Amino acid sequence: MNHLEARQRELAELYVRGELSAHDRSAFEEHFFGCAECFEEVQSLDRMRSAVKGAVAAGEFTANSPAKRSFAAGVGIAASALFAAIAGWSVLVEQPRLSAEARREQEIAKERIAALEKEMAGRELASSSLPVLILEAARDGEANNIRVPSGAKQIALWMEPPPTVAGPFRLGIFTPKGAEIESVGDLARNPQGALAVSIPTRRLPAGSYRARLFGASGKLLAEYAFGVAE
Amino acid sequence: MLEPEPVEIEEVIGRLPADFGDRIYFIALRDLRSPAAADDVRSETMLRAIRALRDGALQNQAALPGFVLGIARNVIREQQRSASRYDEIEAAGQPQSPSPTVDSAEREALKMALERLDPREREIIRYAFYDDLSRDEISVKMGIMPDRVRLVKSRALKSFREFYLRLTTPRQK
Repeated sequence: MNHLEARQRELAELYVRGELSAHDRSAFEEHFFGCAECFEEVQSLDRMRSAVKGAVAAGEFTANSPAKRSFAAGVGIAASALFAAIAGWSVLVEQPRLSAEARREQEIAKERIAALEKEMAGRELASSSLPVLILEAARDGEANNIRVPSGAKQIALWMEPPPTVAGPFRLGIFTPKGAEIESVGDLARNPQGALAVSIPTRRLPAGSYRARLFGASGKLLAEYAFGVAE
Repeated sequence: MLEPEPVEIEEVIGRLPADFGDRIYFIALRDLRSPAAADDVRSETMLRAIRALRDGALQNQAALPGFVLGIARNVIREQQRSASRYDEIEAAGQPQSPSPTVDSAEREALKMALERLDPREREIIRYAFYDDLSRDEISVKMGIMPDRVRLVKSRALKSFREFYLRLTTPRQK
């Protein structure tokens, strides 16, 4: 069994639902023992299935009300009849429209994901009572500033390297005179695609700094100006 | 002459837990429905695989996944044959709701993923993952195109996976 066949036949889903024959199950297990993508798919499907079943059992799954469901089913039947009646029209007009709709939905979903990720990342860091400074590339002397609460032992710096550049990255922190006072290497993107670095507050007393982000080859990727106030 | 083989085998052995540990646990849990038994299978499989690899039982490294899976299946069968294990599984697994693998991260990730869906899309997810209906069955039941079902499912799964990963990945200190 190869990866393409596993994907085309949606074997991960059938496997999780226990609907594969003994032969196919055995062949698919052999495949995902050597295929990270399929194993990831199987694990995610299995977790999601367990979670949905658990949520329904616990009454936490907010599905439609029966009335709404009946209405939806009615609309569905009507829609099916309509589709059957105008099949020719559907092929020529409806299919391209649905494809465009699907693409639009994917774009909207991507935007939603990006917005939620940022929101969640902020919440996570905020909930850890860690002062967080989101660094944005320096523009005409504009600096990113942070006020450090008394008692804080660490400052978190959050930055988003250019999406096309692979890590690892190195972050250097410099004084305005160019002296490097801190260097953090081997940085990898977090699940949000950003870099998060904790610096002890004692290394960053009140003042102005420049943070420089370097790529694996040592090339400067971005520079950020920031200030720390107490 | 250089003798690279022993070094290579030791490298393979070093990667065994990372490459196969989760997979072994996963299939063992599906078959035995007991986390403790699945853990035992993982450990025993690792030990046997290491021993077999050092004995030169693997000729071709491309066959390593099948080789490890074969050992894991043998260990699982032995566990299933063991009467004491049966008792233990029965005692441990009665009835675990709804699956022994449900945890709070899964629930939380699902909740967040569902928040991104409208009621009708949530209904698709319920049909797919609770009622175990196929894409075509859902399509007929709801009067929508199969591609729409596929799209909603894949979107929800992607969100779920991302949220789950975020909830279970340790924060950088």
